[in-house]
Amino acid sequence: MSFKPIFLISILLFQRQKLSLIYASLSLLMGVLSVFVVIETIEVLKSSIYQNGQKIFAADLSISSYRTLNDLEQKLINDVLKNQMNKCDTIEFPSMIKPDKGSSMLASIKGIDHKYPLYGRVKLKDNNKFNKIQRGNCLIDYELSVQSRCNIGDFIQVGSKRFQVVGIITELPEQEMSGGFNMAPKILINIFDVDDTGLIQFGSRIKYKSFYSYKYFPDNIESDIKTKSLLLKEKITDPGINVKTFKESEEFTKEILNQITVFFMLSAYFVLILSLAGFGSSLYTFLTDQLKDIATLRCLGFHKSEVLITFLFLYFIIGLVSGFIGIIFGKAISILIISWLENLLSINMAAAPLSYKAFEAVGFSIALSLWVGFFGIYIFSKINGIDVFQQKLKNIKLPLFVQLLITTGCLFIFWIYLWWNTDEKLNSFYIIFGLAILMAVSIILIKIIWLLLILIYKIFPRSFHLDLALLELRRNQNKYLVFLLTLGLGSSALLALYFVESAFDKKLSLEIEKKQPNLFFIGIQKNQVKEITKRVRESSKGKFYLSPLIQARLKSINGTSIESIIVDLPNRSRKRRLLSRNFRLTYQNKLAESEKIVKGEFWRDGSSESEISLELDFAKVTNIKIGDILNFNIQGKEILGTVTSLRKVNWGTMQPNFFVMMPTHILEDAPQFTIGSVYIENEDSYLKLKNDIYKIASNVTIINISHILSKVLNLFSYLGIALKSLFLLCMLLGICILMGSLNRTQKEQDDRKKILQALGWHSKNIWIVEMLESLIVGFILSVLVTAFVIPILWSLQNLLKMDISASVIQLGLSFILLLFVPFIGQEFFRLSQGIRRI
Amino acid sequence: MTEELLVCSNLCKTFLSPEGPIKILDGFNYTFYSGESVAITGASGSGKTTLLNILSGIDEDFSGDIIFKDRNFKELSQIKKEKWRREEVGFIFQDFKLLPRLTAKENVALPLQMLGQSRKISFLKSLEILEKLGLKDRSNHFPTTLSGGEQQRVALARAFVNEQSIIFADEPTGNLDPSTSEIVLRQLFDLNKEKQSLLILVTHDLDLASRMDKQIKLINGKAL
Repeated sequence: MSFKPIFLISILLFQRQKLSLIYASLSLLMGVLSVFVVIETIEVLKSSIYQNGQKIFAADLSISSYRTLNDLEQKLINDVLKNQMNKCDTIEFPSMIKPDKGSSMLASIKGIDHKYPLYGRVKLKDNNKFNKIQRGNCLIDYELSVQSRCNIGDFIQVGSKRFQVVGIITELPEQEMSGGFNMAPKILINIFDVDDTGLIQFGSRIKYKSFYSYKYFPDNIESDIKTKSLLLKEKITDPGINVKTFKESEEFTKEILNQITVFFMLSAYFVLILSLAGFGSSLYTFLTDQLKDIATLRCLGFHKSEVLITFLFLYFIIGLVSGFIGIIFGKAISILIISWLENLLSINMAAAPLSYKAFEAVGFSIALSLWVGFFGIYIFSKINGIDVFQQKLKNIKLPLFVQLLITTGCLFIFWIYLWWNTDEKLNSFYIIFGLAILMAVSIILIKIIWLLLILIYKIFPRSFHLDLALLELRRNQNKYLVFLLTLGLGSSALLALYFVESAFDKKLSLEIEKKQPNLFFIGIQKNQVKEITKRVRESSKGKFYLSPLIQARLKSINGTSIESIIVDLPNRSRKRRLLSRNFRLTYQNKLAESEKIVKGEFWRDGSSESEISLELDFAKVTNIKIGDILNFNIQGKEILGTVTSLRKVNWGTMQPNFFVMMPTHILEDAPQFTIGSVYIENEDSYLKLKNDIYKIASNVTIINISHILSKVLNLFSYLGIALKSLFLLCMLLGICILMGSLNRTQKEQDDRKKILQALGWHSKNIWIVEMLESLIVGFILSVLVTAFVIPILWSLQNLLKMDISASVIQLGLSFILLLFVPFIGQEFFRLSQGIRRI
Repeated sequence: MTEELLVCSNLCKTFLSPEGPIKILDGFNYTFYSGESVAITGASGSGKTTLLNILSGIDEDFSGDIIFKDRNFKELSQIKKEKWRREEVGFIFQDFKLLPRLTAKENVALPLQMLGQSRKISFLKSLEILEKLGLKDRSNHFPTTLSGGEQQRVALARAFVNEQSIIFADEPTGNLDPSTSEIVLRQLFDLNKEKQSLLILVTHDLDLASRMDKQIKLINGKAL
């Protein structure tokens, strides 16, 4: 048979079942859209970073440290790099600054030499050209110019030197994701002005960084830079000196992005799997409705393969159209998200034109559509037409093993697609496996709720209306199963997110009420402590907590070097991160209010032994026990100590607390500065104190936690919006599935109505039955959501160690709201279809 | 003893079509008595089913009078008409019209439960009549698992379960093969005889019509 009749019959089938197939397509479309948005966004993010690797890193290789390099180290570097590379130096440190027009504020000062930047560009506002910065001049970034109301020509006091603003920065290189979060706006000054500021003092937090770029590119830049980096790491033994290549930076970024991808893919696949459940159920009902048509075609001489091809062609078109519309909408949403990300991460990203990913997504959509539809039509195509007309065959149910085969196949297609797009073979497997388990648990839960409902109903007096509603629903559970799954899981996720957000808000306001310290002072020199304490007392009645801080690195535990301990640990392991990090030690002879010894004994006041008190959780993760000997490298000097006690710290008090603590006399002469924290009542007191401190100690950095919190909360709100959008999409999908389901069963509903009316029932009674059906479904939905939300919140509460319990009123309200969702959906459908009630 | 049950006077019904109004019923007059069986015959489109719908109170858009036991349909409210249908009327449709999600027993029990009878009693009565029709072993089956003949017998049981005084049957054997039709009809006549109901049956099968007590032939909307 030629293709023409197959094509025409497919079109005819679509026209006759238009609404039903549109609802099915919408389900698939939403699933494809959610996955495409996530993959496309991450792809653009990754390619932007990979294409601009050197620009983002601003070098081929960088060497950074918290002290100046000595001659020997400099010679070692020169020996390895063999004068093949350009070099530029920078010095970076946080400090309070004082613009002439405004009050003092925190900024990140960066001294650069005339070669900066080696890669990328410094772009200035109004297309002003960037040249080297003359001494006494500075460039400030746009955020700072807005905050301080500074413009070109104005002056800013940095330490003991005044700088004139000569440009406003709109774009800077060095945008790598360091895992941290840069809170302070930047000021660029000439590197030779750094000393004049007087801010470089003993123990100050200063980062010295040298950037290197090839003068002439070698044939294989990646292997050459890797060799050089390995050689440098081998020769420079001080763990405080950090050698990094742009490739390593890329790898780190890639790792972060993959983690983000996996997380968002989990949510997107959550939507997709539910959409496919809706799609599959719609296709099966569509097929059942076509049984007589298939029988007619078979009687007219259509071979089973021709029936198969006709329907597969239709499914192909559905997959193609759904995929195509999905990627169009997905692309638009992805462009929107990319522009948000550009602002959030300060990375320039160009949204690529529709890439091969779009074809992949359409292919993915077609593959899923064909796979979900194939087995059903394969079984239906084998029927004998006459059996249908003689009523020997009224319905065909898909065997359980076929349903399982379809599900497993879909999960396999998901896994391949996810693995292909994220390179995370194992994580992809866990995601798919986790989703399958989640679905299974949800279905079991719905069945259990049903059983409980029936059981409760049997105990209480019965009414015929409720009897009929329950009977109808019980025997047509699949009508609402997918809807319950979709809306139930979507609502659970959204509700849990809402409760977590509320808990954070609540905790924040509680902290404010408790008058916990909200202002931090960093970099107080020993000789400034007295004067600063006096000023703080004048502005705040709260307790001023002070602790000395010494920067160090852990060199060995019981004589075994840290390098050999961490060598076999995976990159992401917490133990590895904790052991190889830059430590902040402190010394004191008394425990703080927020600390409690849980093992061993704390040293007596005035102890001269080299003892160490470790934070309990840190000791657990790093497997360090009482009696172990730790060797710390404090800016070149080694200090040995024995662990004699383990402390439990209440980190929520916002007082300065430390992982490692030693007796005073052991560390009091080490290079150090003091940090302090205090509660300040209001913004006016904060501004006054800030200006007072700036006058007497401009080197001291003052951080207002509430300002930082607002930035962090802003970041979380972006993530929250992204997640909420996915879950809302999930709920929208649920409504769409409900509409599809109501549409499919409309004829059955109408018939029931006619029969009951003919038997003498008033329309009001029929409406009561319909309303009861909706309310029963709503009740199951509400119970399902509550049953999911409570354990989710309990798990999060234990995980985050904070109170995230939902109030009974809030849960009750959401219960009532969800109770009416199916009823509202049904009424909406009735109105949209112009169906009269009576 | 027979009594006047339904008295129809000058029933008229007109449909509006693009070609102009079509008179389906044009002054139909007839008196139906209890315990009798009446066949309504006529060509396709002659108004048989329309007449059945009017007589059963489903179609209210007509002119003329229908009197049931001294009560005029026109004077009955919608609710009273529905109550009348619940208490006095049983229906048998060509395509059975059973609720697919209910078992045979539950379908038969529907009219009783609608009248407020308890579930237990409704089911007992339902099983009783199903047993009489030889369907007791099929009582827990769903309509889709029953043959056409069985489905129509379940519909018979539903129509007679409440001792209804009038049974309306619209082509009750139209979807059945001859041998199955015979079984269904025999059971229909037996039940009607036993319950002494008025059976009004619409058919185009003249043989079937000849087995009824009386026949009405509809021609041009009038009874002959």
